Amino acid sequence: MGRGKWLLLLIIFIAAGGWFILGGEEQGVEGNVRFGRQGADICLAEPQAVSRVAVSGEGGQPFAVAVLGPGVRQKIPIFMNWEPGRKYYFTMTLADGGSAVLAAQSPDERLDRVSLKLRAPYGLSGKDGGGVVPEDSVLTADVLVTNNAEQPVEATLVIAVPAGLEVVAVPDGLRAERSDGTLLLTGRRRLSARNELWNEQLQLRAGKAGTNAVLQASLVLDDGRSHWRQASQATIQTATTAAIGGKIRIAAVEAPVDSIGRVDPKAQSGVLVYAPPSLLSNIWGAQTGGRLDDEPFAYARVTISNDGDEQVLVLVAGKVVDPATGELAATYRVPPHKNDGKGYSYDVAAVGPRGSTSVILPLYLNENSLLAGNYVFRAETAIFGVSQVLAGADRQVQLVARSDRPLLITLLMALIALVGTGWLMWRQEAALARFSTKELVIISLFGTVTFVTVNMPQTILWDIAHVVFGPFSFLFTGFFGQTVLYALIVSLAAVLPRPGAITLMIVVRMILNGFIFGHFTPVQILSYAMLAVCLEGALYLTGATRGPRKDGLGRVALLALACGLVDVVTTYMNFMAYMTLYRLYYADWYIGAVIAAGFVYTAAGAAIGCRLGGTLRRTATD
Amino acid sequence: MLNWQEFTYSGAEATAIFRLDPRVKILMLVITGLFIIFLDNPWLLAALLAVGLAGVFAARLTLLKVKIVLAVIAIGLWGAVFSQALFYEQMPRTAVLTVISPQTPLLGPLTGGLYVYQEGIVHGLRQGLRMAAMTTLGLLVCWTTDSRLLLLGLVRLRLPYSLAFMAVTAVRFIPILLQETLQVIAASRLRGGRRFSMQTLLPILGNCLRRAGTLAVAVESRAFRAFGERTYLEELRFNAAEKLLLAGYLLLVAAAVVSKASYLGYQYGLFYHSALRPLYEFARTCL
Amino acid sequence: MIAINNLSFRYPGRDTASIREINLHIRAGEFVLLTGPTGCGKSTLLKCLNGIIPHLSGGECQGEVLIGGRATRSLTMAQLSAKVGLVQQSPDDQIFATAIQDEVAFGPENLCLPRPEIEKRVEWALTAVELGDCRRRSTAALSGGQKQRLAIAAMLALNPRVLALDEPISQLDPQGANEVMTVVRKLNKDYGVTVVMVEHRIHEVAQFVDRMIVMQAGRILIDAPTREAMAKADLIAGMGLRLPDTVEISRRFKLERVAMTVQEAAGMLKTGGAVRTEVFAQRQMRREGAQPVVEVRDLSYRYGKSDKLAVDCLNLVVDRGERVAVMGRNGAGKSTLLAHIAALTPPWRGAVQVAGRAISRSYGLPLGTVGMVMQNPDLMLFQASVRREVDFGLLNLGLPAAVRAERYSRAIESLGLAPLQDDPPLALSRGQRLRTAVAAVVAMRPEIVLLDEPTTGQDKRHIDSMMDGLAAQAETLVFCTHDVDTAIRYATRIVVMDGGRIIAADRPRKIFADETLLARSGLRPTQAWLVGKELGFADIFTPTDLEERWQC
Repeated sequence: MGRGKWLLLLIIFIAAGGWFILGGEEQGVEGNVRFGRQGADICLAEPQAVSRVAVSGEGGQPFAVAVLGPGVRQKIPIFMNWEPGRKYYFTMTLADGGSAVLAAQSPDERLDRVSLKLRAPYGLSGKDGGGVVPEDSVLTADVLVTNNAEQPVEATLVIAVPAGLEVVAVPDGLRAERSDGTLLLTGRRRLSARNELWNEQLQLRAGKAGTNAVLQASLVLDDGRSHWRQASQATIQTATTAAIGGKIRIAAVEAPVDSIGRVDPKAQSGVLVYAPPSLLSNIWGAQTGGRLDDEPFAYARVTISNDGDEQVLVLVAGKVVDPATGELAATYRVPPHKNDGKGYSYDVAAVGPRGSTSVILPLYLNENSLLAGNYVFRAETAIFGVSQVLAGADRQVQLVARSDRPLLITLLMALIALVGTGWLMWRQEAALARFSTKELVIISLFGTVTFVTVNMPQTILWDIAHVVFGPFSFLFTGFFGQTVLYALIVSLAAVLPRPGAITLMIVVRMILNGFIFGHFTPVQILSYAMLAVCLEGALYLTGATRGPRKDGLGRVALLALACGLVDVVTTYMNFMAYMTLYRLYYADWYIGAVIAAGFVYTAAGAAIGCRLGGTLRRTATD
Repeated sequence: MLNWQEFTYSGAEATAIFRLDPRVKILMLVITGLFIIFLDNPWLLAALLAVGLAGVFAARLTLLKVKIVLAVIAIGLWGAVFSQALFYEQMPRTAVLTVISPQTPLLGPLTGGLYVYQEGIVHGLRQGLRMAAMTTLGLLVCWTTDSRLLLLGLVRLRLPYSLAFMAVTAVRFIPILLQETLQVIAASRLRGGRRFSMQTLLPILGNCLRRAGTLAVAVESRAFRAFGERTYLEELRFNAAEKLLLAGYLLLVAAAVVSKASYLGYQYGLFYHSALRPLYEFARTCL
Repeated sequence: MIAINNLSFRYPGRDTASIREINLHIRAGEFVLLTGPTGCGKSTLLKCLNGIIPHLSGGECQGEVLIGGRATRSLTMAQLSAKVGLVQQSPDDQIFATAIQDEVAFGPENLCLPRPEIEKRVEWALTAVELGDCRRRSTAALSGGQKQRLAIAAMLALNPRVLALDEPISQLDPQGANEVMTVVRKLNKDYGVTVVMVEHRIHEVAQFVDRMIVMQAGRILIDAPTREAMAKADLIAGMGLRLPDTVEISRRFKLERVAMTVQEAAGMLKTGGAVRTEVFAQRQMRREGAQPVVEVRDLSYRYGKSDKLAVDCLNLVVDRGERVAVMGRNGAGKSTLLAHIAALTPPWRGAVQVAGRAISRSYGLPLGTVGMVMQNPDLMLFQASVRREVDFGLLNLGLPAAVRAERYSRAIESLGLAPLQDDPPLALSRGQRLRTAVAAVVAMRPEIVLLDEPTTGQDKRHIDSMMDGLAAQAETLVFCTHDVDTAIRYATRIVVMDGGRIIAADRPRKIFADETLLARSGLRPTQAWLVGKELGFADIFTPTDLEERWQC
């Protein structure tokens, strides 16, 4: 490679590096800010994954910082004390590393000195503060009084609960008295500071279906100088669960989707791919996150339609279950510190009349108990506050655990086998010319001996052992498969201490095995190629194939260790090849056990081979 | 003990499968070997196994060999079922038998419990089909082709002749070395030795070293490796039908492998193109 | 055709030269026997003919070898291969191919000959060695004699004008040896191939050769036409080589001319005198009160389901103190019988009892009951030294140290292994290896010792020293052999087998006098017996018989 090419390469590297470093540029995010009693709401034109919002004033002084959880949002509430008629800057840090700034002027006038808000059923944010509830269901009415002024104020709250509703429990600090079938709950409180809240939540039981009850809250205020009143009301309609739920259905379930519910055109529907961080993805330049357990691994989108005329508050749960048992699958269990430790994801959606809403539920993956395969994603809906499942829908999801390691190792083996075969074909006789005819014959006869004393007993014994001991037969067949084999290999290296002899012997053995037992499968060819490469390397490094040596105890130990390691590597690679090419499963402890036993058998074989080779060398010199 | 003569006797040599050019057989076997690792559809795997078995019967192999093939298939399937029943790692899986409970001291924590999974048995059967099909086809090829013709085929496919020579020599000495091994074992047993020990290898290898000298002289005095090249008495010639068969098969397999490979490339996030979605779908459902 | 001038050669790593200053001229069409004791350099000289020395050997070579007027040194191996073909001793080890025609086509293919030419040569060579009808057969299925003929054909395909044969018949049974010699003679006489044959079994080949060259210690001692060379029989016999019976008779009777054929010998002796008739004790086949060591009753055995019976309803009793020679063609069932006596194979039908114990599938024999020396003694040597080899069985017997030491030293002494105790067995010479194997067997003091053709490929001296050692150590002996001389000398009884059955069992002198029986079992009568028969004397089997009982 010339200097020019190096330079070009350098420039490309620098450019790429720069792109990565400077990647977090400001991005165009559209939206506006609405100032409210408790702070400001950022309303974005498009949902965004915002991880942090920092609010600063005109001089750059910080006012508030909000750190947000994962997921995309369109509306971001910021709790802050704003001064009227000032300019504020909202700097949003996006999840992808970018940032955006929105600037907004706060209103000149303050809001009501004291505000009153009544929401019933709580959570169903109808414009009028009311909604439909199932009969006999328990609902919450939420009353919120806020002091927006600096001055203290004396507030008297009266909540009128009509006959159609029953109070489950009277909150402390409220006095109850009945008049005309209406229950009046009265309380008094002094709100001394600005932004001081008075929040009361009433547990109410709805009455029979078909009743309409109007819940009223009124507030009498006194700041010592003047009196004034404020009032608010909510209409609570009661209907049968069937009447509400019958109109609610799950229109669609889609998984995987991205965090804002879009379907990735590349992704295969119903297939979740889990790829642990690996060498390949590092090389490929993909981002490698930490552990997945805490972050959603994928999202599912559940679309709920409401065919009724009333807005309904629906609880949507997404459970990933074992199709065989129907129980929550451990693999997908939501981390215990999330979602009340329920183990699944849920969300609440208000579905407007004759409308539909999509809920995006995060799916978590528990890497510790990860198990690929087929699961069922079960979406369940319930009316908020009623623990009765209204509708459910199942969607099969397949989890593909993409493990690059077996694949990479198999590819590496294939590459080595290809290069080896190519070299053999290219160099042809030249490679073999380094050996005399006698040496070639010695090698092929060693190949035959290997075949007779290793492959034949192995094929026969192995099969018998396999029938009885199954995968654990390695404990018994290692004597032939490894001890005798390596004894022969090492003794051949002692008789013919030249690089290449072992490879030729392995090739001969491979051809024999192919011709006699029909073993001509890619996996076997790969494993022979790997064995040849590893052995040649190890024996060359230990000096066994670099000319005759004396067999000291240290050398025997070194050879035994080297051969043992070769066996460890080749056995491991063989397992990877079997897992990839034959889609077989092996437990890690099992692979470990096979490798450990193999190491012992092999090292013993190599040590014996040293002795055998020594004796042979002494006898064969004539 | 295995009767070598009987084992190497090839049977009825008149069947068409014997007469195929060895190169066609080798190449088709290699192609099938590649093909089969791309396949997942159990029906296709079963079909390949069926083809192999049909070939075994059509070749009119001796009863002994048919029995060996069936035994090899049975043992192979059993082995796959055995291991996969224990190690199956996909959902859903239903444990039908507990081999080692996680509470077992020592082994329990080590293995995390060992169960026989119902789905693993099915998976083992499916994957066992792959190995069984490959072994059957391999045995079919090697038993319906004289080993010397196979080697000749390999030489024509650019295997160095010296290697072919080594392989022939190795094959030729199998029965002799088998006999010698048994004799050494017998001699050792008569003097109180074990059935097979490392010492068994010493006289056999010593003999090999000695006979290597003899054989080397015998072949070198017949001008072995005298020139870089050599001619061959045996002639191998593809006929048109064989060419067609090979080309057709290659094309078919290539198409299948390409579609599966592109699907895998998509799955692994290496390459995706929306126009290929039907191909992906085909590969996913059919192959 | 062949001219050797002042040739000396020393192998790499050896102190002394294997051949020294050899001068030799061989004319085209000659059939020359090159003989001498083991290690005399005859095989080395043979290797010089086809260029293995010096082209492939290394070592130091002086002088020159001319083949057809051209020095081997200046020719390539390929060129030489078309001039001199080399056939070696072991029938198994010089064939590499699995099919007969591949083996023969190998040479011409290496020479890059065109296909029709190869075809022609293969056809011709196989016809010349009488294997023309089995071109496509497997080499594994051939008998020893056929393999040796195939090795010759493989050389012939290169069209050599000289055939160099290195002990081509020493590992063959008499029938195979005969086949090979017939073919070689045909090649020599009909095709005019010059033959140089190395062989120490002079008695088997002398009748075929024109000229004999006897070597000793790397030098040529005798070089003369056969008959003339045989005149120096004393010298040859002194080297431990075995002469043809007729020559031996000529030597012992100091006949004026060397007799090369039975007729000649008989003719020259006829005038001489008569043989003293000696009455050999007409022993009963079974002595009263004899202790049977081996009892085989109605034994039948077959190897594969479809094979024919290897032994067929066989009955045999061997008494303590007997030395039984089992003779017969290859495949007559001799080895199978031995395997049953050694309890290596349980009987399929019938019963085998050794030392009073019946052998069955589940019950073998206690260690040390039977000792066995195999055809190839090398396969019995698996220890790192002679000492450990002989001690191996004794250790396994779990004997007290004193007994072990006593048995060990007796075995070592009686087989003359004392100086070799610390050598690795496989590094010893052929004869020493055989003696080591025997010592390892007899040291265990088995009730019965079995020998499976241990005489194969051994020269006379080795056989004799081994058999003497055995006879001294082992009480009861059963041995298979093709060598009539050994059988007469050591056996007290001969069992002749054919087709898995015993067709005769009697004293040696009775068996070897039955010509039809011998012919049926592939054995040949000794020349001495034929001479005796010609002279009208019975009971003469060896030249010694004749000499001892000759009455002037």
